[in-house]
Amino acid sequence: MSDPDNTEDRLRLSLHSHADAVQVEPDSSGLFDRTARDSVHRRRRLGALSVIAVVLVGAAGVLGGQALASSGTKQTTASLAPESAAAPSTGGPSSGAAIAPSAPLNHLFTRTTGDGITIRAYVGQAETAPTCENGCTPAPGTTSTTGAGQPTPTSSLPVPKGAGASSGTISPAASTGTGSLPVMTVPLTPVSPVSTTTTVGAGAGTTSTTAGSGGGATTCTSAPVTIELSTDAAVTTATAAVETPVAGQLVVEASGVFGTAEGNPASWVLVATGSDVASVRLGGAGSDTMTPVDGLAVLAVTGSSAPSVVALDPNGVVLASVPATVSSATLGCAVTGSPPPSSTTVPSTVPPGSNPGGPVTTIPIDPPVNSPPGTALPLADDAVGATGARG
Amino acid sequence: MDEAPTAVASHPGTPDNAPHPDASTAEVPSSPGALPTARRVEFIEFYEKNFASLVRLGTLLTGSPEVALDLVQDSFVRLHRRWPSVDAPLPYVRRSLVNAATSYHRRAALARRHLSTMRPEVGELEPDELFDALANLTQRQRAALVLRFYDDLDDRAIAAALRCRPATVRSLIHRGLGELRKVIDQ
Repeated sequence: MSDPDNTEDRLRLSLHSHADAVQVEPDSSGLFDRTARDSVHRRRRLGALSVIAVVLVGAAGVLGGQALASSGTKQTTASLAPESAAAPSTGGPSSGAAIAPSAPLNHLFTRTTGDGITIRAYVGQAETAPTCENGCTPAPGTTSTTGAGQPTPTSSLPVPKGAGASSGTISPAASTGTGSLPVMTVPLTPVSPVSTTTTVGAGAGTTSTTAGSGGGATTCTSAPVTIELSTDAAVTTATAAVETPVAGQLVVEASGVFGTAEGNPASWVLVATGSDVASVRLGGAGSDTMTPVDGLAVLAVTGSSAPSVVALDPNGVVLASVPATVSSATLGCAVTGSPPPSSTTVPSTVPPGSNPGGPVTTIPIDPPVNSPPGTALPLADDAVGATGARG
Repeated sequence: MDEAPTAVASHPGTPDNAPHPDASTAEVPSSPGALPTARRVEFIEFYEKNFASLVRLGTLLTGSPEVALDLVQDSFVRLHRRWPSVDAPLPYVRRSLVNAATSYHRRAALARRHLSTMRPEVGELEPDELFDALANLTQRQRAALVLRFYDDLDDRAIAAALRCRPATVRSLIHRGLGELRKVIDQ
């Protein structure tokens, strides 16, 4: 075994002898040449990396911009046509006149019902339709009227048997996800001029609709009203063209149900009232009440069916009571006849294309409050021969 | 590209940390490194003072004076790049040289295996034969032995150069000497 100190000494001797054999002189010029080359190489590498980084960042920016542009296009499309976008949080039928609001909307009111349904209403720029001498101008895209003497149903849904020449089929299409209002197809036959009014007997408890004769004054000023309703489970929107009612009138402009798919259905109804209506409320238990704002009120209640709508004067006297479903006649302009002097008129409206001066017909005023989604709403048989008037 | 040392340890017990002498030389080669004149003078003086010893150290680490010369120049280039921010330049360049030697040996693994086949025959050991036996050690063992028995560095300085703990340095030296004793005993 070798001596450890001997090994270390021999190693030290070997290392120093080898190191002493190396004779070099510092070469400053060579060092700085190498430094210069290193600097140039570093600059080139940094330049190349910078170019690569710029290219990558630019490419990423272009790709990101394209992605944003595509998503922005989709959002713009959706925002331009909010009524056609499907939303899973809404469901159930709604009825009324659907329009596409193009003008800016003004906030009308926001309220929360006792059932916790938050309602926001917005109104757009009012538009006055041309004077309707022989009828009303239907809201755009809401109704269609067949030609004179052509009782051809244009609906894809079957016309119920027994429907006469004047009967029609109201086919409420299933509402879209955002609660857009259905397009109703109302084939009509040409009739003599009709002015339909609903007469509510004061305290009599009976209602009847009377189609009076004589050319009534047309009210063709309409404004797009957009409402938003939301619960804890669902939200929906709807837009309707609301005509300006006259004093004493109570018109159901639109109604619907949402939140069915979420298991928390809520019914709502948009009504237009005359200036003398102090408040409106939903009939039945758990009713909702509100004071109309600018002649408009939106009532909502939990449940898949809304009861009737009652109009009250400042003294709490019932002025009118109508079902909380939109009448097909409200899709057009309201045509009011001369109201009876001792009664409050709750106008029904004359469907588009009807002619003034028709026979007076009484039609029932209590149709089903709400129909199941996707079902046709045949007119009551009593309406046959009512010359186009529908309750 | 050889790895440059990332940290510079200060070793107060060594003469490496002596302050740089004042600039007194008028002949200062210009360089594109854009060092201020005073800094450039300091660097050149440090370079001229330590170049030869570092080349010798590199020769012991690599076994080739030519390779050591190239590695030392590269180490000084890296030092020149960081000269304004390096507080202890000699440990920095020594560590840079050790790293460069390690990289060189990693690249020249085939040559090292060729050297390992050239074991000296058993007989009277000459210093050169012991040096060849040193080449058979691992690079870290060789570097530890060279820094200990040529540069006379303590464990902390060697540990700083090898980026390991002083205990590891002691282990490397012990194992390296053991391998050399096996050769000597043969």
